[in-house]
Amino acid sequence: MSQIGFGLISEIFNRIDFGMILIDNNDKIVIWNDFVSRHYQKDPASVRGVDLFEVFPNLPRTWLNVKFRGVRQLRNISKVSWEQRPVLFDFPSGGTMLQDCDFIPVNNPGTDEVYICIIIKDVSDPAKNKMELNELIKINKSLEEITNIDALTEIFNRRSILQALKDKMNEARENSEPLYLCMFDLDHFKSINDTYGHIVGDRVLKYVSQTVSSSMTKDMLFGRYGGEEFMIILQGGTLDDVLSWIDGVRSRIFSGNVETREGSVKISASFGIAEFNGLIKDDLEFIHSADVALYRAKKEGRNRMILFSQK
Amino acid sequence: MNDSKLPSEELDLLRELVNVAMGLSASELASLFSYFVKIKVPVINIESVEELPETILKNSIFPEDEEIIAIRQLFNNNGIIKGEGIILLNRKTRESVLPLLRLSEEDADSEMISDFLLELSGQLMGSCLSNLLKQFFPSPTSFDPLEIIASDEPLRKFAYRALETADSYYEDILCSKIDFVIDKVNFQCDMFILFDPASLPNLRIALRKVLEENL
Repeated sequence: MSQIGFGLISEIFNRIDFGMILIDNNDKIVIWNDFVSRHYQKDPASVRGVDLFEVFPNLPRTWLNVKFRGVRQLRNISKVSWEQRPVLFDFPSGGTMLQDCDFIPVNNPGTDEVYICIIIKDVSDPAKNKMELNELIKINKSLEEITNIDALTEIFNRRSILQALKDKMNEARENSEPLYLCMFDLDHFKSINDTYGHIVGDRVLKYVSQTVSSSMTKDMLFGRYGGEEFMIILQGGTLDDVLSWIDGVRSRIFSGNVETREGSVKISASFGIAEFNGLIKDDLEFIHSADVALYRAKKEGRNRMILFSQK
Repeated sequence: MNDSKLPSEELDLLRELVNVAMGLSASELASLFSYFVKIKVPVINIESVEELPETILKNSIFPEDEEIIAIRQLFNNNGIIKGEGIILLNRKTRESVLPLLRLSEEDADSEMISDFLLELSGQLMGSCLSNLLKQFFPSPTSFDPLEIIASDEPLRKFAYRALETADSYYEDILCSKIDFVIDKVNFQCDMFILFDPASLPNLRIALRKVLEENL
């Protein structure tokens, strides 16, 4: 293979679909590629040796000076996403280009000088998609908040079950009544989604919430904590009664199937239970305790329940 | 704990390498800021994910009801070692950011302060992580853009929220904790390094290589 010549490197430099600006150790422009020429509508020869901040007067100078000093001294690549600064380089080529920028330290061979290679990536399309998606998520969330009910499983949504937990903890504290929290999570739910698709995944979630709901008594509250994780608040009763009820629910979930065209889907869940006592400071700690027990149930082989203990 | 747990010989070596890296970073950062930087000997723990909140609470220089700012950055050394750094700062830190970055009040309105906090955090994390990882691999470490993941949130609340996000992809966590203190400008912050569990076998291979080379 012949040696790679400057011509070839230069061809690549100008063909790549992102902007590259090389500045020297005094922030003077050394060269930029065709991408920048196209968007800035000037060729690199006309700006060679000119200060970067003179060519792009809208750049946030103070902040970039701090950044450049760090890049040069620490010799680390620094990145700025469009989410932090949507448009760093204000190109006159029309339209708003949302940008991700990288600042790469480059040694000028044979000297101590550290040049900086600035990479400008046009991320307008993915960024706009993400913004639209965030907007949709926000609308969905606010719809859910109005109803307090999880749209898919028709049980309490996260916000309302968490509020209920706080209220029940206050009641338990005032009346010295027993209170238990059970967190449970479907086993291998991701692989159900991956194998059978999200529609079947949704049916599994509905099946589980219906199975639990149909076994509940008036002293229990049930909600979807997130994804395939659920929360049951149980008031009153002895620990033995609570454990036996939860084990019954676990076994009912395990004994049922969800039928699909590709065959029946076997379902199981792991349960973590925590008992409320005066030492628990707040709802976060109560949830954490149940979560720790749930994590142990998963580690010990799934499809089981574990009661939280400090050990 | 599964086989990703480090035996004590490797853990000791990792502690030593983190110490070396922090020594390098202290002098690098001192020359960058023109202030003497104290980096306290780090604590390294292997924690299972459910212990993460308590590990943060127990090891942070901030009390658990202190309102903190948390800044996160993902790092990746050629896909071999991946993870994230989390810097915890408090309100007071904001006041020391400007002198550290050699800026005056006029340079920064309140919006810019966030940018400078990000910048400073990036410099601290970049220096420490690069100096650590270059002892294993000569290729440079790449860093994702920084993001503020908590703003004026009590440390306790943040620590438990961190578990919620970490839980989805971490099982066992190798966690290193580093304190930065710059007395002259009353600056102090915590940095937690969480290694991606998938990287732990690679980290062990790298550690054993260093051990063999030093035999």
